[in-house]
Amino acid sequence: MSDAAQNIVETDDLEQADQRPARKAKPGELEEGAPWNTIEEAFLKRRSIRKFKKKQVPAHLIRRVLEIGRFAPSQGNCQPWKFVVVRDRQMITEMEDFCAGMCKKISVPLDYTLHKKGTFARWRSETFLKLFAKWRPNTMHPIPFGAVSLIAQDRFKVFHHAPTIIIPLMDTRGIGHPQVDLGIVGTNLVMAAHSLGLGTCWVGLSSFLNDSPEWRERLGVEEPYELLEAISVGYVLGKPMENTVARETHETLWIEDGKKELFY
Amino acid sequence: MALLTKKEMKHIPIVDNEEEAQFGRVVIDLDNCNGCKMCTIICPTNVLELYGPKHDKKVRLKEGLAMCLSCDNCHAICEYDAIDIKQTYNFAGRYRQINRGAPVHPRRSY
Ligand SMILES: Cc1cc2nc3c(=O)[nH]c(=O)nc-3n(C[C@H](O)[C@H](O)[C@H](O)COP(=O)(O)O)c2cc1C
Ligand code: SF4
Ligand code: SF4
Repeated sequence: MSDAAQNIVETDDLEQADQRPARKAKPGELEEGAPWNTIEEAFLKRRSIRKFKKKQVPAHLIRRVLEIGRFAPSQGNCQPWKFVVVRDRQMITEMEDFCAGMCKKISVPLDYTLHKKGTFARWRSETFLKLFAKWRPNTMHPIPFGAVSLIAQDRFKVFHHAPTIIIPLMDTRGIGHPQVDLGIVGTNLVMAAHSLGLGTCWVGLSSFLNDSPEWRERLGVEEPYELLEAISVGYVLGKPMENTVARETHETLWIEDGKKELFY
Repeated sequence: MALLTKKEMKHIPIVDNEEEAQFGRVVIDLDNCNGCKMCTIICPTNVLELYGPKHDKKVRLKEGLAMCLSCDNCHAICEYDAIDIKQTYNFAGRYRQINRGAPVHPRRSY
């Protein structure tokens, strides 16, 4: 037998070796319908927060949130991220103005809802939008299109006046699909903040900053890093995280015992 | 096999055409709603408004193009269980929702 083969440990051996008393009920022992545990409840009651108190969050809490981020899983343990934390109100206002300005710029040619149906201007904008959407179909989904339109009309904010912005930057050299890892590290940050009673909101519209040489310089975004998303953090106004919400169910293909079943 | 045809994948819907774009819709329980305004403040796309006489205000979805993103944050903040999402957004063509069921709250029994 080769050395490598001797090193293989059978699952049965592991199960026998694990004789320590269980600290918590094992999943199989939990009866159907049992109340949500604290972690499940945290996931169910987290909301995107877009109204923050003015008060700044203490630096040590943000450090604590970042510390949880460090332990996120990543493909091949490549950890394709680094962080930028912005807490200067003036700079956040300038980031807001820049992103809102970009929304205004793109909505001039693209936002057909500003023009009366049947007019030339309307036809022209619809045509531009459709061309643009063919080039960038994920960006020009009706929901972000609506957000850009609202921001351009000063009816919606990009960073929601949050006192702290955490920007996880992605190392584009990450193994496999580094965008997935960036989403996971962000989830760690968001859930850690939530567990401390802080509110967060992902800000996809922050990606305008990535395309601006000036902002790349100001935020220290250099090759091979990219800014894909930002996360607004602050103290929550009101009590938006005490109830659950309703969400769609999603098709699930269940394959077991040679049978395939669908459920929602 | 594909769930959307090539033609559908190429079709970009127009958001203010009701035949191509349906935004979220909420139901309001008028007995429970006391016009506290919280949901109108929290709503990300600002599609809720109060109406009615001064001391008996209720909430409703705004008329016209109201781009509700079916997030249900209005329900999450309402302390009187007076509002909930009943229909989620859906679009024609490329952005048609597929393989999903109606919105439900978290389930523990199936
Ligand atoms: C990657 C990502 C980007 C997002 N970008 C924005 C954004 O730019 N602006 C915004 O208001 N919300 C943004 N959101 C928040 C979503 O709108 C929100 O998660 C969704 O409506 C569900 O609501 P909930 O988070 O309260 O459950 C983003 C969420 C994710 C995951
Ligand atoms: S939060 Fe509830 S009670 Fe208050 S206005 Fe909205 S629906 Fe009515
Ligand atoms: S579901 Fe979300 S977008 Fe729609 S009305 Fe409620 S808070 Fe507003």
